[in-house]
Amino acid sequence: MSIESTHSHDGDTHDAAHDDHDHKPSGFLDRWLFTTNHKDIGTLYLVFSLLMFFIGGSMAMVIRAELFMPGLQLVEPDFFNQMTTMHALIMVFGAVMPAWVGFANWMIPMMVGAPDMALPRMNNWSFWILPFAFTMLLSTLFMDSGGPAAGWTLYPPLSLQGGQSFAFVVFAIHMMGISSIMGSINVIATILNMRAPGMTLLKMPLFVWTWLITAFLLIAVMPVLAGAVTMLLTDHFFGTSFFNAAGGGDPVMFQHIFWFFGHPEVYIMILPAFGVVSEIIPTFARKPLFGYTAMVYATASIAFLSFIVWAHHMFTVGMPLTGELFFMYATMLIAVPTGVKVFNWVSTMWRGSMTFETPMLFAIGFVILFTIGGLSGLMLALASVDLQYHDTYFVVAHFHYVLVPGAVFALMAGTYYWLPKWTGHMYSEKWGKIHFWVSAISVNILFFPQHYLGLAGMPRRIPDYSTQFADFNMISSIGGFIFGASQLIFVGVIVHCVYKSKQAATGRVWEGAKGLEWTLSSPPPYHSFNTPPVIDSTTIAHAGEAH
Amino acid sequence: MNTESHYDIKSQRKKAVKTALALGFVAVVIFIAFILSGVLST
Repeated sequence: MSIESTHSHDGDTHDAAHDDHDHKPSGFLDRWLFTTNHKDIGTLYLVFSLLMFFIGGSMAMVIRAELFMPGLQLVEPDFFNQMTTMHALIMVFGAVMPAWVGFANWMIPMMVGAPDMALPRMNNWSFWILPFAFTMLLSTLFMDSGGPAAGWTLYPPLSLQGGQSFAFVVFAIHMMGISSIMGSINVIATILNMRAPGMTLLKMPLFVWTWLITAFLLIAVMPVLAGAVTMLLTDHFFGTSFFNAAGGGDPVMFQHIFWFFGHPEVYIMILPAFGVVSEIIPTFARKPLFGYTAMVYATASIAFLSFIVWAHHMFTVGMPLTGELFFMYATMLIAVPTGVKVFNWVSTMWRGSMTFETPMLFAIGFVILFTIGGLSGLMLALASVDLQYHDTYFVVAHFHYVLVPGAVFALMAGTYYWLPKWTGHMYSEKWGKIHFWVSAISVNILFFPQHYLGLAGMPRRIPDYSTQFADFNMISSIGGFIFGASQLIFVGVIVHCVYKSKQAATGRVWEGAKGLEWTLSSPPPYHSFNTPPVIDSTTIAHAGEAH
Repeated sequence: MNTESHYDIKSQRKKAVKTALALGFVAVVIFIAFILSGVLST
């Protein structure tokens, strides 16, 4: 179906620009450095995360180039370790998380009918901390002692054997944490206090719900990470022995603490993805989301369970049998609410009037490929067999399926879905679809062979390997190069949409779209919803499900 | 924008500040309590 035929050309959009003139600051610094506008800050977050996506991605290219063949050909082993560590830190804290905060900034006020985020000045601070944090983190690569090389988990004693640059890494993590906590506080304060009259909690769009729960997760776990790295810092530089066995400390304790943060962190990256997909599938299936309330409870259940499964990351360090059983069964329990979600997305599509524009393609790609990551997660949850899989490429394949065709595909789906709303122009549907198909095929060439490498025993975080692993590594690297190059198409589509596209977007953009954001013009006025909008079944998707 | 909605937004923002302070307090307490527990146990 052509893009034109699927757009709504109705004129029922409430153009708030009529009664609210734009008051954009005229100067560049006023507009971007001192901005308190949620849309501008959202844009800053999204541009920053895209930049980090390419920096982290270029490190992945170094890793895959080194692993293209057995033997050491391009980089020294220590630099390879720095690449794996920095790739993870940048992708988690610099690309995926800020991208979701960018989406939250853009969409949450418009979705709940608020004029802006609740605390606009703090919003500005939340963003502008990040460039300094990541400049500091990246600068360690140019220091004598090099960047962090102990993996993003920063396990002692290895992480404590790094040089002076470790202090910069810890301070950068502190700054990222402060930024995340401030952003989360803003999200919660906005959702709980700034909703338009009539927008009850169980009328909120799923994206808002998933972000509300994500924000609580962030506030609960980021201080834990901050505390843990502070203790690492004092162990490294001030002679304490929190995790130093020689001084009476316990290195395994750090692993428990890290994963108490680290496992919820995984859900921090994926819950907003669930929200975006739950917005997109109903739009292009032209049906209300199946089981809206169940989706809300499933999200909350996943968030709760994420706090009681952390030790499945460390079955191999040794723990009592009862502990192993508890963490194994608790982990497997997560499959239940996750299964509810997948079932509801499929049920929403069932007998819907589906069309397959780029956002829908990425959303369907998400459902299928994320589920593959979920299934390999179930395999890893089994304590007895995890002893074989632990620290192999099977784990790498698992979490990359969850995070790349999972979280990153959802980010791309959301970008294509709301880009016309943000810019007022339609993107090139042809190039969007090319981007999807090249990405979807290459991401499987990249990560699927890594399952076999892991099952055959190839360890992760090594620059060299036995020749028996050569073929699958070469295939994986070729997939990686294609996937990396295909993201240039993504940038091209966005740049073309923003600066060159001549096709104006309507307010509603997609004929099946429902929600307050679609009642505004495209692009929305600089200040939207100064007058609270009317909440009824014509404007939002779940008005009939009031409780 | 009428006076009533202006008033509403003001009161909404006041409540939002209270929510933010409470959440910030929780985050700081988790951080300090966490480090203290490490210090006291060693």
